[in-house]
Amino acid sequence: MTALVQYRGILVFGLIAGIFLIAAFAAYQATGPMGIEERFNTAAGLSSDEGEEEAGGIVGFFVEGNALYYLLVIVVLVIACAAIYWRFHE
Amino acid sequence: MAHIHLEDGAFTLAWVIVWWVLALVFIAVALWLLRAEGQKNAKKVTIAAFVTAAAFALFQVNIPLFGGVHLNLTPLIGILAGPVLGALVVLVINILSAAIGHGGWGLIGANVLVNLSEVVVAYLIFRGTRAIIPDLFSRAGIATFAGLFCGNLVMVVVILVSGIQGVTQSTEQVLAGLTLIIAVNMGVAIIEAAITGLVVRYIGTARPDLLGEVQS
Repeated sequence: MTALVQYRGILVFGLIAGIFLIAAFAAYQATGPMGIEERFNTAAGLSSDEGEEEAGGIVGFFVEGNALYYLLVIVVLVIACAAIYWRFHE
Repeated sequence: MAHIHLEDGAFTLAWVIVWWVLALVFIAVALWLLRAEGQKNAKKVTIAAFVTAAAFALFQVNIPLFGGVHLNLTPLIGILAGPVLGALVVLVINILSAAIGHGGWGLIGANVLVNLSEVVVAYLIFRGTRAIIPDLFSRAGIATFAGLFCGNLVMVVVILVSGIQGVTQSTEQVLAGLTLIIAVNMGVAIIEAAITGLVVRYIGTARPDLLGEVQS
């Protein structure tokens, strides 16, 4: 296996990543800092309710939707995963 | 990642029904295929459960990058669980997301189609390029890029075809705005591609049988 063949995967990956990174920064410069909902609403021409979902975040990270329900669903999913693993484990 | 972040009422009822019916057709086909395969999917069911939990947990977390984005791991779902179980996984994730207030109930059908396209394309690229890209990290990463890009295109098509109620913007203006969203999303896709690549490479080292990789 030649070096080019061996590394062509990572070269293509790097090339795609570079193109997308440049495009993302260009788009970010055009739109400015916006949340997901706000960016969508601006694109669609809808009015947005800014700040509502930002509450309760930790250094910019926050849960979209109800945080309590989020934790409850996570607990249920963990229990379900354990049960399925127990049932199907070989 | 691609996800239609519009609230209920953005699409007309007719289009909500159209996207729901289309999504349910794909789900029905997936269920039929699963039933036809029988117990052969036992191991995959466990994998599907774990990727559902992981993807749901990550999907809800807003990451302060480019103003706010989130990951969804749909390409990883496709690579690990396959497109058949993956269809059910994305349905479950979208329903649970709507249940906690992330996304509208009426948009679940459209979002399932968007996420399903990511799952299927990532799966096909990952499997189809095995001969030319043996390295698992880069193959999974490239499959992730392809899947997420396709998902973004489907998202734009769904929005443009449906139209959004109560807006005065022209189709061209909406398309221009959505193009910027695609560009930002694909910037975030670099992180998702790296995570997917690392996870797949680790699994390929520890449990290559889970990837269906035959050592050559």
